[in-house]
Amino acid sequence: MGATALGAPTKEFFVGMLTRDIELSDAILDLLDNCLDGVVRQKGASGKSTSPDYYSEFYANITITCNSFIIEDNCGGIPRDVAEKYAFRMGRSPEKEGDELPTVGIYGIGMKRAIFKIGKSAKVITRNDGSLYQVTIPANWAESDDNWEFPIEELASTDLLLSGGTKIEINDINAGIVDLWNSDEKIDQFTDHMIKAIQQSYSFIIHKGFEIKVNDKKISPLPVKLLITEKSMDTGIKPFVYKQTFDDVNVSLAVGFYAPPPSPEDIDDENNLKRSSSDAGWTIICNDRVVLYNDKSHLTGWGEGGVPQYHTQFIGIRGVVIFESKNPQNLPMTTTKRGIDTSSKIYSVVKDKMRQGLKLFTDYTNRWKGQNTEERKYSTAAKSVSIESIINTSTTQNADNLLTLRKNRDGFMFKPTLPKPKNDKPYRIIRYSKDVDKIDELIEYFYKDLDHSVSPSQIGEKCFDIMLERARNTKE
Amino acid sequence: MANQPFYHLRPNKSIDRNLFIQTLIGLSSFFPISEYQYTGFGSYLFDDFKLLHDTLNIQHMTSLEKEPTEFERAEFNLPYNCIEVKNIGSTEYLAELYIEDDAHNIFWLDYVSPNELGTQLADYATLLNILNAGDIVRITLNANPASLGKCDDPDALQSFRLHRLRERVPDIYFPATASPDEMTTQKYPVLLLKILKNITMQVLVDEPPYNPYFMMPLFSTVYADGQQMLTFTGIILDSHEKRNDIERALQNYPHNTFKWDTPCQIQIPPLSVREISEINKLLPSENARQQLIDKFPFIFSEKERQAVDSYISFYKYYPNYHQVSF
Repeated sequence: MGATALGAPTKEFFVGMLTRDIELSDAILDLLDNCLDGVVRQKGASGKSTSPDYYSEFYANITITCNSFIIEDNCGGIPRDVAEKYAFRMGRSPEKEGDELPTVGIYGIGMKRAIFKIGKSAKVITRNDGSLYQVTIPANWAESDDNWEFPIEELASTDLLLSGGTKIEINDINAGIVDLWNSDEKIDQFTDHMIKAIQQSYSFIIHKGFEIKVNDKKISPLPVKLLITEKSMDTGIKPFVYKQTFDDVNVSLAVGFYAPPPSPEDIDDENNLKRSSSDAGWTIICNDRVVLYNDKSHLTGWGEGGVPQYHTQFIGIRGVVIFESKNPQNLPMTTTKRGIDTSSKIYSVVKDKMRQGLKLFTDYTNRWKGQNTEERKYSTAAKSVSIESIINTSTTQNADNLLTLRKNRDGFMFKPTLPKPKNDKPYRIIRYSKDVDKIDELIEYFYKDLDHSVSPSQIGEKCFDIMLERARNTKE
Repeated sequence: MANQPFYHLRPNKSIDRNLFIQTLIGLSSFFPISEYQYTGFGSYLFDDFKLLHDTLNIQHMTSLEKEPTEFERAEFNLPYNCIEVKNIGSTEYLAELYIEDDAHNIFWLDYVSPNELGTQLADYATLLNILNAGDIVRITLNANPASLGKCDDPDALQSFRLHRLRERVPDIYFPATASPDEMTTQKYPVLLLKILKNITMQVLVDEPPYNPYFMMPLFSTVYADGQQMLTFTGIILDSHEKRNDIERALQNYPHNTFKWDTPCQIQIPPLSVREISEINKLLPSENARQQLIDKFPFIFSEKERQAVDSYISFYKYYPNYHQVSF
């Protein structure tokens, strides 16, 4: 028998590889993903995409202190055989058949990656189907390279996790992370950051009833709403809506204005950092989980196929795409679940529709440029409607329906007719800047009152009107 | 469009238009061309509209006219009842256009102005996004490199033009290898075709089963009745099997090269009626070129082969203009 060369990985290398490329907050989001997948496993797929309270009664609580990280949920716990064979293995075992459920976890690394990102030792206590047991990752686990197993022990039935769930407690916090959590102020700051990250990724899930607390602070969802003019006879502001099914992947898309197109003052404010456009852009959701948040790049069709690049003037445009499938590997998301897989063939079709929708609203913005007051008559008359109710618009004809979807290729589409300016002559913007004192001089001159409430652009317009009138009078 | 005087008297453009008709006649053995909806910029003379109705009996036609006064003039000049003029620009029209699944369309985006290249390309992309398989697209762009502006240093002129072009075309469509020596009158149309190809490939990705649409290029022409123009014509398909059928259907119309990068030059000389009838007596013939150069040295020369080649290829479509008394 010939000699062999050792090829097994060292644990240190393995753990290092696993945790290097993930942000701490993303690792924590991975743990929350596991909670949600637990709910789906408990409840099954029925009604997941439509039921408005699919996750209600379920929760996850995160507690961060200077020397521990705890996440506890009531989402059903880990079945014993899953714990023994799969849940603690590094990577999903090929023997584990797809369970045909619309979950987000595919790769079987989330929990391990999160644990080792945060600390060196952990206790995973879980109650599934009544039985309560604990898996321990000892602090010295990574020191020897041959033993890859973790001990499981039964726990006497206490009142822990009574309704079924999992509690993960991570200790021996890694050096880099201790620095983030070693004082109350720092923990507060981190908690705040974490809440924002959770709001961005889980608003749809929280909206559907899931409760998440970080250090006892309950997280509220960020609503996603679009403007709709409700009088169905008039042309008004309405979103573009598209739906299509690709084998086992359902796609719904809506894009429109969530806020009126900006006035020149709004754009100035944005450029001076007085206002931010973080709500604009595309949000992409795969099985309820946000994988891309308010994106304004070519990933979501900005700057391609006839659509202009993102610019502050498009601050009011927002779009959402929802992908749903019981085979999560068919969803166009990257392995980290925090990005879009642009090579997906389904995504390339959907992106065509995203551009088509987006283009309507960039054109609208351009068309009304310089006629802000006139435009506002439409956009301020429209009401904010939640994205869920827009997307749940049925595909059948309905008289009092504001959005009637029409068959288009293999899907359904609603393409709004947006209002047009009455004036056929295009407007041009005149922009100039003058120092504040000189503008004040004019305010004083026009209104005899320095405190008169008037914007610099209104003063500019007044000057133009006066000159124009003078020019016309001279002609005659 | 309307500010181009005697639009209808442009012989090279007229030949290009005729080549388009020939292609459509060829395609009509596979596609119900006379049932297609035609959308173009008819201006006030409607040459393309008339030709399409007269030769192919196309009955549903829409002409886009942005300018309100031009719109009125267009309405006044409508040659047939089956043409509708809309007072709207192409950008606005295309963004809102809803095309039914079973509708067939021919679009000719017949642009003139070189300064609006960016918008024109965006309109083209928007259009491709919504068309169905079997639809025919035609786009005309200003292909005169001088339209990109002047520069004081003659040695830096090409670089200057390339820079200007880069400003008008979004980065993602701009060929990575574009170089200043492509900014000559001869090569600039080919560079524009590369840009059109990039846009097309980005929008029509040819990825069955969900997104099977792709563009089969039919032919491109470069001609100048003043400014040099480029026209690309292609058909959108959803199955590669149809390719062979189309190539077969068009084999007797050799201007269809089915390639992106081989535009045909239309450069016929202005001729008197007498010249035309004498020259045509020699055509078609195997050694026509030499004969024409020998017999008509005051028209054709060895040096300007383009003109003689163009004439031999397109003599059938040479327009005749006559004085008419009503």
